[in-house]
Amino acid sequence: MHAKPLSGSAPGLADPLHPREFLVLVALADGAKHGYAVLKRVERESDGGVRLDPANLYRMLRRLDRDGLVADAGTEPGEGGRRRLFKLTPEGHRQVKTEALRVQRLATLLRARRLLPETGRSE
Amino acid sequence: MSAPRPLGSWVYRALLLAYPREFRDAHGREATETFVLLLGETSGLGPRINLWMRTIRSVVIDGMRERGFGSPRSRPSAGRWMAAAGRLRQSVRNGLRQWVRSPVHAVVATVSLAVGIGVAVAVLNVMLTLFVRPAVPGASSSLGVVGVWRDGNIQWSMAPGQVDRLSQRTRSFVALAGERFGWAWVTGVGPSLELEGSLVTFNYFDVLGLTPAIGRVFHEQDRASTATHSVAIISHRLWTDHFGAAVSVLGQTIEVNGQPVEILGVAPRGFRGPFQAQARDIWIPHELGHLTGQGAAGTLFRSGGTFEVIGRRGKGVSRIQAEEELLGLIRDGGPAEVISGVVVQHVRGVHPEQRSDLAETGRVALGIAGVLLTLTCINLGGLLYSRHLSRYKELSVRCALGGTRRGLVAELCAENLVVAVAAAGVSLVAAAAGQRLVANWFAYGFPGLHLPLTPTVAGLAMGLSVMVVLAFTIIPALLSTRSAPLAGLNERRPSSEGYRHTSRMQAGIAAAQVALSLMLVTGAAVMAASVSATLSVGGSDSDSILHYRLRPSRAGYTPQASLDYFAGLLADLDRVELVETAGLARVGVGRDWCCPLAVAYADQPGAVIRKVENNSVTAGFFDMLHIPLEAGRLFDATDTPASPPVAIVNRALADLLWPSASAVGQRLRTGEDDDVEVVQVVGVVATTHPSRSAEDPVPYLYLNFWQTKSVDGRLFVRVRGATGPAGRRLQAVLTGAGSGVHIGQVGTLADRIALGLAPQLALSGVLRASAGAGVVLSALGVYSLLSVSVRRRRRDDAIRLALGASRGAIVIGVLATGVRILGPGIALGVGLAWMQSRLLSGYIFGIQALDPMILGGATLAILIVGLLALGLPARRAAAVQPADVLRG
Repeated sequence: MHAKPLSGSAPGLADPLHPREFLVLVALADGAKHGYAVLKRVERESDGGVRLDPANLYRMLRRLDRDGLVADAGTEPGEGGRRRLFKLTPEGHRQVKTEALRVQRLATLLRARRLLPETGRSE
Repeated sequence: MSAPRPLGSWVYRALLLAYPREFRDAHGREATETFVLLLGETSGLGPRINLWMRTIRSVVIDGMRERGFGSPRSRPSAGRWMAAAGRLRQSVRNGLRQWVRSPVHAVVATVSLAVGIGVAVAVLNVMLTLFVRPAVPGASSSLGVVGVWRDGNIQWSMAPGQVDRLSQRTRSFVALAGERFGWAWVTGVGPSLELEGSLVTFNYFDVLGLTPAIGRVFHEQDRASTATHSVAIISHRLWTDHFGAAVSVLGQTIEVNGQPVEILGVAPRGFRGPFQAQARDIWIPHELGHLTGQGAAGTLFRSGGTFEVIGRRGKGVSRIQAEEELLGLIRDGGPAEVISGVVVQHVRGVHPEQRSDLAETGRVALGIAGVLLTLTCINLGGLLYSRHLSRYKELSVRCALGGTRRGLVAELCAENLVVAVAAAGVSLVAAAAGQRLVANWFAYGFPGLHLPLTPTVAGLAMGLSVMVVLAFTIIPALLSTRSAPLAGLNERRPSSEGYRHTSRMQAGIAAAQVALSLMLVTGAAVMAASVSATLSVGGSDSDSILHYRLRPSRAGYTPQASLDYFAGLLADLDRVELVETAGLARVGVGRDWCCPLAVAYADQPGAVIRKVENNSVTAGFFDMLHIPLEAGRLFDATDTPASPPVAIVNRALADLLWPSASAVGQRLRTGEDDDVEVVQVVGVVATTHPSRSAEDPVPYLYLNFWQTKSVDGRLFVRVRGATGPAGRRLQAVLTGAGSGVHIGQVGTLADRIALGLAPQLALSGVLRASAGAGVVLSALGVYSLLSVSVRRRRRDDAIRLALGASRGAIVIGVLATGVRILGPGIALGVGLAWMQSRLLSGYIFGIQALDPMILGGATLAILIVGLLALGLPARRAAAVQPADVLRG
């Protein structure tokens, strides 16, 4: 399993989620979506930096499903047949929050070391 | 009924074979559907190539991981790796031995593969260069060229003031830089040079992220410290070719457009402009352009021109954000701005404006490369199949002795990989040697195209080679190892059903090769004939017309002095024996045949009728291009600068403006705003236009050269005999006719016209190479098939000879087999050539897209090559010695 729950303690800086998996979970955070919608959401939210191949996305969703972070949420009609919807499980929600806290802690640390600007443009 | 699936869907489903079946069953349909949606929303050839490359890499790697390869769980121990490597080594050694035993097969397979892969890779390399590869060394995806939507068109330039304003206010871009093209007349470096150059903003090289090879780039401080002279950065090519790559070039002063310019640095090697096929040699800061842009130089670096804008986006800023911000800033600029949108395109391949022009040509070229690759696959498949069949007995015996089918297939794959690696190497060597040829296809329109064989291209050649070989090894290997040993032994007998079946299959494969070759040869011949027809202006051979650009403005001539100079020059040329006829024009022909001019009826108040192409010419211009007069008169001595302006129209313009009356004597208002002139039509000439077909008549207006105000002009001279000696004689006359007049762009008219035919010439080159490769492949295919057939029939032929048959009858039997291949192949090829002609019709001028003469000639050529390929096997069949064969 890739994601490791931190059993209620403050999030550590180790054991992060894989960045692509994190982006997929974030994309599902505001409701159930089908594969194409997840893919476009990830691409948009990463400013085009992460472009997943559809098969790669379904492979990832299947793994997240096995890890209990994502679950089936029924189907909806699509052009070539019915499309499966995916949603975050409560455990998935918890993992996203944990990862977000971890990233926040990391950012705070980097700002304290002046490796990140406080606000505004990065360049 | 469901809609037909797009081709992309089939290809993606085929790629998904890399995943295990269970994954495909569970997610294959949805993944394919999602991919088709992605493909549908991706426009442009470059982005589509990108998407496919990314997808192939991802699917293959992830599919293998899903199958357990490379994952920590399934990673074999070092011992297993060693054992596998040992088995592979052994298989490769066995394979080498097998190929050494049949060297003809090995050479034929390697050459077939190398020819197909070599040409396909060369075409792909051109596509990568034109659409994907950045011209700026180390360019990142954050670099973008800015265009604006105005009146439904994208304009890729802005006024200098606007560039400065946007650069200061933008937060999406780290900075914006501007560039404006211009000709630079450089002296002080030995012989005078006419170079392509650019006026740029101070931050140009910083924005592009370029570090000079030597010296430095421009600084803001240069503005203050160089009040009396300008500064420049020169290209690496100029530095090595004309300054001997000496470091002392730094600080040296040269003259650009008659003004002193100090060299500050040398651009990095290979950089000639931000886009492929640009050929800049000198860059001068726009802010110091007034030092080289005034007076005599004003027409070179045109004052009042606009800038192409390139910017580097800040980190985390997407292209959409940058476009929205720039649109807001431009609209804030004032009420006069009528901009409906802003686009930011990657700085990759050629300029976006050329990219859209070339996209269709690129698609056709890729299609041709695909056909050639198919031909290669067919050829190789047939060859490997017949080779495996010839080893049927050996494989059957090994099966009988306990060899596993999996092991035999693996060994056959390893054996053929030897050929794949050899062929990839040969194809790369051939592609490297052929780079000059490929660059020549694109010499017109893309003179500086640099086509490097990068590791990516080498990987592509190797990957394609291995994929093709594996694909065409596994199936024949499975087929030839499927039977029980005894059945395998029986199936080699000529009378068996299996034998007849495989013979038919092989004959079909060879016929398909002949058909595809005929299609390619016909396409190449049609394109070559079309280009040749287009280059013949007015039915004459434009190779015998020399073209010069003459610039009295460089020597400070006034308009009147310039007219005196041109009149004297024509009188001088009249006395030269090698000159048949000479004409003058204000602008050139071919790609320069442009500059639309608004026309309206002079006697009727009203709006402009339309903008028409035009040129200012002398009477000799019509003689030179063999444009016949249809009504009225040509320009003559009565038409002087002081007399009322006159004009000549072509038939298409006359029919457009005065469909029911004579055009001669009519008056036209030309120009717009404050630059209006009324001209009287004195003659009508035929509708002739270089680089346009007769089916596409272009309305054209000819003004009188002697009644225009501009100072510079073009000289066209039709010479007798070879252009070389005539050119040398003319150079002497031109040099003596006027002191200081700059003579530039010397060449034949055919060269000038060809500039406008870049896509056709490139396509013609691709087709010629593909056709050549196709003919070689089909000849090899026919030869290898008949060789195998003759070897199989050897015993039968020996018996027939022993029973009294003549050797002639044996040869006729072989030839009949060959004709059974060539006949259907040619029939199918004619059909394919017809289909191809529909695809190429947009590129064909002056002849029919499927000219019967060309089709007949191509068919004859393929027939001759096919019969030659039959010759050697037929001779071998005739040389059979019955006693030796029957004894053996």
